Amino acid sequence: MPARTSRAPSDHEFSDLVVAAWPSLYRTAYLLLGDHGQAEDLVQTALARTYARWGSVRDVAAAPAYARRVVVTTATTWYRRRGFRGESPTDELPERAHVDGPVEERLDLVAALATLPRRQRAVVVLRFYEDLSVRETAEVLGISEGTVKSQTSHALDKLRAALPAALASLPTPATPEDSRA
Amino acid sequence: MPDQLTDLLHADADAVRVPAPDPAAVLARGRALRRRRRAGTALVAAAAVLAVGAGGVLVGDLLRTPAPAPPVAVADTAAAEAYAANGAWAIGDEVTIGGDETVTLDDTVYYLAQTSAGAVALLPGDGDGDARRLVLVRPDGTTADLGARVEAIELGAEVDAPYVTWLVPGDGTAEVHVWDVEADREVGGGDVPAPGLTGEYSVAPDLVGDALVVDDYAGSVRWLRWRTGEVLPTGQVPEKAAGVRRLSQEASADGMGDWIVVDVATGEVVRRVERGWESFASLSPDGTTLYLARTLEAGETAAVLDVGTGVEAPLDDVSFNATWTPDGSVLGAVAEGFSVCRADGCTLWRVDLDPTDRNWLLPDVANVG
Repeated sequence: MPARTSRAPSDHEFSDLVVAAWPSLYRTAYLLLGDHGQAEDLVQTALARTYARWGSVRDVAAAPAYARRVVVTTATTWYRRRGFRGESPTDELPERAHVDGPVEERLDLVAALATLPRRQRAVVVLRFYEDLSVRETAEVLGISEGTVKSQTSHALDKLRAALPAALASLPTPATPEDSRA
Repeated sequence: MPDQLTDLLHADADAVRVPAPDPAAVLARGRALRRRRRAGTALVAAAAVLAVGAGGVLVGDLLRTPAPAPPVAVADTAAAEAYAANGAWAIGDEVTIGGDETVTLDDTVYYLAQTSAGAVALLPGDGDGDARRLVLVRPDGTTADLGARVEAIELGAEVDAPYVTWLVPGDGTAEVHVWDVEADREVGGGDVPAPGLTGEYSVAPDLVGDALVVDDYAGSVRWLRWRTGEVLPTGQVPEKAAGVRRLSQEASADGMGDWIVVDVATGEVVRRVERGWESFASLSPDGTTLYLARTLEAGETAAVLDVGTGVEAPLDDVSFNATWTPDGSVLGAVAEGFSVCRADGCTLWRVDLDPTDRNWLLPDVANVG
């Protein structure tokens, strides 16, 4: 019969995970929500949920990926349950995110992202920031692959319109998702 | 594809000021969440189980005590008996029921629950909305797409009833649904006061006959007569609660309180078990046996414990987190596959489980990954 797997990771290892994974998870959360306070709350919530399953973790290396998945699924839950402020997209770009120094101009894209409807925003973040495939994105968001493709196409249209100079080289939205499916 | 967009997103994200993490605060929230979760995951109706002649030897025999009556009440067929003995599990979009019958569904399984009618899989939505879908996988391998649309991430179920439950958090209220998976219709539910419910996460309600219990996240539980929607006053329990036991964790500032099995009707602690440094516990469907995996000073242990006598019997071939088959054997996952352990040893179904993927699911346990 198989040998037992190793012990469950310790609280100390979990604290190490929090420190190591926090910056990356926070950036994903911020792109999904467009708000620093909510992003921090989301990452804390996701990591707390990860800890709640900590006793069943047998491979610490797999934990960051799990936490990332929890960030995304929790964000989609918040979209539904919190009357999320991004529920109704606006045509106006919001105030720029708070950044340090000379990189501020870069955040036009983050601001444009915040104008997208929540699902389109999530699709863009998952596919082009997290580099998930169409199928993986569909799985995480709980929607069909066809919906992922159509939402990607609509989102790219809007981003291209909002930032014509920066995104001029993006392909037309005929089947922009195919090469990443 | 637009790698340009990817590059821009990473450049923008890298420029975002990231606040410093607070591991202690995250740990505190995680411990509180785990206490809530564990308090709500193992309610059983010891006095209300049904008996069928499923045969086989139960884990209870390891303790040299009379085997409890198998609680599952499915049709008397070989498939039903196999399901009762071996339970169900999932890997990705594949659900295996009874040990040998594997069904491929149309999407990845998020959560798996065991009912008297078979295993119920929670799947992603169908594109018309975010709500998730349910598919019933019967013991004979046939499936039925159910009409329910579920805004929840886990289900509640009893192995001796054809129902699943779920909870949608509101502002201080738990919106509870009960779905009959055989008749494929909602048969009850209601709104239960839950002043401590924040909406971020909640465990599914536990069924006890015609009643169910919801954690109010404020230190207590509330009972709902789900067929009528009547919420019982705080502290009042339904008649069905007589003999019902609940697995909980004793409150403590450090989250390390003992495991306790509580008689719901009287509040009496009928069994207290040292929790250990890290542990997982699950109460059997009939409420007589506790599965315990603990990390103690002497090392990691896995055992079944007779709730009545406190006698432990070690188990060697199951995973840290494990669950129960409908007839009361321990079902776990090991490196080589899924293992069902009973008095006469463990049966292994060899499956190539990628430990870094962890897309496998045990019923009634939301695995990592």
